Amino acid sequence: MNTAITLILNGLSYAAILFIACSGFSLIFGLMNVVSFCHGTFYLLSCFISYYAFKATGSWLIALIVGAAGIGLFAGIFKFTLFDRVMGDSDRESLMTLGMNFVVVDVITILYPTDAKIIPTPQLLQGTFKLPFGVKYPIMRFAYIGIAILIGLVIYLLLQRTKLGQIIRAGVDDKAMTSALGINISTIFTIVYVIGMALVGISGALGATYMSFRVDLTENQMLLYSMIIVTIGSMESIVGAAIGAIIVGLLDSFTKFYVQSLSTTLLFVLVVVILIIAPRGIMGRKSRRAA
Amino acid sequence: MTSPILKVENVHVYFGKSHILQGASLEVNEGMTAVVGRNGMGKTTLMNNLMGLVQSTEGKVTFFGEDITNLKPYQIARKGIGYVPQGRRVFPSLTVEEQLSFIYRKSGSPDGWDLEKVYDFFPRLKERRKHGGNHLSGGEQQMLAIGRALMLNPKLLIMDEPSEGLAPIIIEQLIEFCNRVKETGLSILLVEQSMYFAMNVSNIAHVMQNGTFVYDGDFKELMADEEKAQQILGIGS
Ligand SMILES: Nc1ncnc2c1ncn2[C@@H]1O[C@H](COP(=O)(O)OP(=O)(O)OP(=O)(O)O)[C@@H](O)[C@H]1O
Ligand SMILES: [Mg+2]
Repeated sequence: MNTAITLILNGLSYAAILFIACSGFSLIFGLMNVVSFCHGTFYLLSCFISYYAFKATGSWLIALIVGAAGIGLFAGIFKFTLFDRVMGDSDRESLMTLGMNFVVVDVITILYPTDAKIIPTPQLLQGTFKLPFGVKYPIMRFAYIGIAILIGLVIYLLLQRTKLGQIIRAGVDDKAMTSALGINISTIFTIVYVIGMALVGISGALGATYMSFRVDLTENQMLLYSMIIVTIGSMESIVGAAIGAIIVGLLDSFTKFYVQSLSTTLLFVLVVVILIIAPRGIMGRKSRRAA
Repeated sequence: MTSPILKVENVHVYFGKSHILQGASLEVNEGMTAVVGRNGMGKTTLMNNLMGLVQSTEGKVTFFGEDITNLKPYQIARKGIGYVPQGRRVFPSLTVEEQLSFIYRKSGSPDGWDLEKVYDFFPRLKERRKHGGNHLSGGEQQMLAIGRALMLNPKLLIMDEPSEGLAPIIIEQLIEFCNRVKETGLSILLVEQSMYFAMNVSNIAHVMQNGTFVYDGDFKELMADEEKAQQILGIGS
């Protein structure tokens, strides 16, 4: 019983990190129809940035902020200088984000040693909670779940209660019509891209505290998991990203404990089963406007 | 005679290899301008080009004397053109009130459009203001699409087949609406399949055939000439 509880909590706290990364992915895909292949790499970059920010300042909070702001800024510059030139042409978009992957990974490989690193848990969040059945569980990991819920709530309120949110929803429904009503949709794209990538930055800083990270491993795992999550949850829904993240987090936790060697295979079996039942993902909409 | 509000000169549009607009020219003057023509003749394509949603390869569009050829859609909208597209294209994810509000552009004059005035004009929209765009009837969607365009406080309203798929009683309301809008001084460029609708709001017809205008003149005269009406509109009168 206590193994099961621990595995569930592990799954949920990992899902928290995955959700934060994928909520950015969903926002960007939903509005811009852009599949970002540099998601995993930007995540890894955030791990490094926040790790060194922590080493320099000793403050976990500053590390988190630097990770989020650093990736948001980097993504903004990337979009403005390079990505905008190919936007709207999905083949070139894919090539450009794939290329960005190689550049960032190579630069990281040259600059930093390849050993695994981890950011230590901040003092405030050290220690464990006592749960029923004699389970003890780290406070830090509960905090992750809380942070993910908070971020989900903020995104929800942003989309539902603000003018920017109304514009984003209108843009997801019908981009051309939105711009024909006087909205400069490419400015909105840039804002959403930066927000989405800053969320990846937050998840990177959290992930680097959750477990060790390493170039050539962390970014591939994150890209793979993001793709799976947005595929099963629906590419354009935040709720879908949450459901997808919980499924993948739990499956990751249980399979790694019981059948380590089959972990990835089982994930893909799950993807196939879900796509047979719901081809557009669990929260997918039946149709999108073509225009 | 005063200079036209909108002037379209020799516009050509291609979709891939198909030459859809083949030198369309049109003058939109104050009041109501009606464009008619059979299915697939290029009417919507022309409206999309005026809005910057489809690019032309040749030709010129001027709005109050200013060149707006192939500007971006949002720039054209901000110059003062309100677009009510074919098929209405209301936003399913936004409530009635949200989609009227988020694009609101304040008018310079005190009797410009705002949420309250649009609700006065279409009381039905006020009753439905908390409903999502996908929970409206066809007639309500059409009112919303028109109200949405009015919230931009445009100088010209483009309406593409507003009567399409609507019940006769709603069409009567739309005719009444068009005539009321005319009184406010807002000019309308109307595309219609329904001759009944078009004739009830406009005395002049511009007939489009195969991507170019083949008749610009008196509506009743055209309809009286059965042979010609049959030839360019595909209908007898
Ligand atoms: N995106 C597109 N790609 C290729 N061809 C198109 C596209 N849009 C329209 N067409 C073609 O261009 C021609 C003109 O279409 P358009 O929609 O402008 O006609 P219309 O006069 O508005 O017709 P209707 O009265 O049916 O609305 C049609 O033959 C149509 O098939
Ligand atoms: Mg049409």
